[in-house]
Amino acid sequence: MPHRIRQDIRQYKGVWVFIEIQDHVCVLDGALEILSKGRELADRLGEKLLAVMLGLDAEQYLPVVSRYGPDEIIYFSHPSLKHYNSEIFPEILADLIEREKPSIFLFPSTEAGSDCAPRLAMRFFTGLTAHCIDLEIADSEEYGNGILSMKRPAFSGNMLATIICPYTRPQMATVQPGVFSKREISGSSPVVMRREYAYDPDKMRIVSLNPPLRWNKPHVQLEEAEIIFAGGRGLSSRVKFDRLFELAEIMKGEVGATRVPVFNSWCGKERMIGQTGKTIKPKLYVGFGVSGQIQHTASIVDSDVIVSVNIDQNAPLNEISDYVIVEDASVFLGKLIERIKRDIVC
Amino acid sequence: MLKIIVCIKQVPHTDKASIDPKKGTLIRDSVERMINPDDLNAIEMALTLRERFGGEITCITMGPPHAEDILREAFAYGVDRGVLISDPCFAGSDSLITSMVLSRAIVKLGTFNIIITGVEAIDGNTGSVGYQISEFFKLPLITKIHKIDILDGSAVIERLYGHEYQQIRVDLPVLLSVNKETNRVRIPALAAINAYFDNPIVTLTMADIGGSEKEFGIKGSPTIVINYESFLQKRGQERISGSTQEKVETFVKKLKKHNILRY
Ligand SMILES: Cc1cc2nc3c(=O)[nH]c(=O)nc-3n(C[C@H](O)[C@H](O)[C@H](O)COP(=O)(O)OP(=O)(O)OC[C@H]3O[C@@H](n4cnc5c(N)ncnc54)[C@H](O)[C@@H]3O)c2cc1C
Ligand SMILES: Nc1ncnc2c1ncn2[C@@H]1O[C@H](COP(=O)(O)O)[C@@H](O)[C@H]1O
Repeated sequence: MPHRIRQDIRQYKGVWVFIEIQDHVCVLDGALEILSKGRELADRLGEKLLAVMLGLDAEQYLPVVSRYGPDEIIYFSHPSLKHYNSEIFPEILADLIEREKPSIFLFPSTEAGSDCAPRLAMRFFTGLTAHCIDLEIADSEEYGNGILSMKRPAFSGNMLATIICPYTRPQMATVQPGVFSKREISGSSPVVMRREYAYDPDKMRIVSLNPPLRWNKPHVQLEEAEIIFAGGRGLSSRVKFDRLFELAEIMKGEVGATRVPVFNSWCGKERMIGQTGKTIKPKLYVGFGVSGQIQHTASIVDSDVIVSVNIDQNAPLNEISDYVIVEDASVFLGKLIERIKRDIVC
Repeated sequence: MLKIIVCIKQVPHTDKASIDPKKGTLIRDSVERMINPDDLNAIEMALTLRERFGGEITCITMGPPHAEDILREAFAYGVDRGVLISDPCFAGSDSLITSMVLSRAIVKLGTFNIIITGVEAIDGNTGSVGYQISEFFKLPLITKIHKIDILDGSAVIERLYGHEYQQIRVDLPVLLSVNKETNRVRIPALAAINAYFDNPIVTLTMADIGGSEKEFGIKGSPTIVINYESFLQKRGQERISGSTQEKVETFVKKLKKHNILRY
């Protein structure tokens, strides 16, 4: 049973970032983005930034990780680390935390990060803030100096909540890929430390019965798309939602969605934009029948141009839009497709 | 016979909730409440397992007294027992403390073979509770289940894991975390409506699970919400007006102006 240790939190120093390896072929961009943010946090604290990486042939990723400016890299390289494993990874990381005592530990909120971070939080009986959209170091009279201040959308209303974890360490957060920008640091040459993998396979409780089959996730590059047409409940049916694909095809854009179409199976989860979906920065975002709740809008505000097509002239999305079109979303969508097709023919 | 525990949470019905137009926050009194959507899939998983392998299903929930409503609703689906974990000092617990309370309550309830949770709650959405209960008991948590069989004290499961489709075996006890991709929730049988009223609900308080007030709720939670701020990044909001066709024309012009359409 976890027990509450009165930690001496002053012993805990440094900012750690979990470097996730994607499909055992490359470093997850989201992890490098967090590393760049971690650089800022560490500089502000005057502490070290450390990248932790577990993988198969992990040496190959060292040059990439180094470019993003960690002071130190600790890595483990072993065939058993080819994929994220919910039994092995938390065990190795818990052991590291125990020894090295980081003050802050950040994870991408991917499948792996969302599994690993809460497990470690439970082991060390510390707090975790999931799906953060901003991180900074704050000084507080009441809670002390140099604490991690984490922002995430609040449950209701268009509000952001600021959350801290002042009394326990490490302070932990997960961050959706796309939230921060990655930034290379020239001349960075971190101290690299290899640690030996020593996990006892007899401890594993999950036994694989057959060789696994590769399964390719539907992959949509919303994060890189320059034009995004997003549909919400206001499109009212799958058939109407489907027309977004037509528009996206002729304009070389991508189709995104709020949670409503995803819940109604009009499209897959890989198209969801928002706190629990993707963060986008296109040149153009057009919302068709999207009301504009913060869980969605917090992830679109970096778009160059935002357009709202909504029958309600008071929809919250309108306020953060450059252009507002008060109109039935599917009627407008139909006419727009017609119009643009005509242009292409000419 | 399987002893199955299902963790369910009462959440506000966001679609029906009204927002205070001035403050932009949820008007609490007007809020309708419901079972967290993923937790209905958790109940469904439990019912299916009981049908196939026999067993007894206990739904547990931590919340204020009105969370009892969702236990009654669970009875209508055919759940056998309901446990309300409620104490004023639990109010404001973050996900770590919620996981602690649920875990300790489960210990109090005795042995079990399977614990089922939803993947995430729509109001907290940390998606952490399942993993943290898994850590508490040092038991594996299986997600993205496509197929499950129980054989001689083990679960044989087909699941998606990262980018692999795997067939695995795990000795019971085990935790399962499910959502709407796992199964389709049945409609409660009319005959079960009586159960809605008749089945007894057990209430556990802090005194039953042990500990002291300062370990729970706002006081015990490692995370503290220190500020709420409104999130509004207002822009020009240029209104495009006219007939539908005129709006389309004006919009196309704007797209050209921004160099998004180039012909
Ligand atoms: C913890 C948490 C996490 C969440 N994560 C996400 C997330 O990652 N992404 C996300 O998108 N949501 C997320 N949500 C849900 C989010 O709060 C909103 O419920 C959701 O974004 C609303 O989707 P919507 O705009 O499509 O639907 P609604 O809010 O129902 O809005 C529909 C809009 O369509 C308009 N409309 C209706 N009919 C028409 C018509 N004929 N023509 C034009 N307009 C019409 C209406 O005026 C309205 O503005 C989350 C919620 C919570 C609590
Ligand atoms: N207060 C609660 N009472 C019972 N179960 C809960 C509670 N909070 C969370 N859970 C369970 O944990 C799952 C994930 O919740 P969360 O981590 O809050 O997103 C839910 O789907 C429930 O199964």
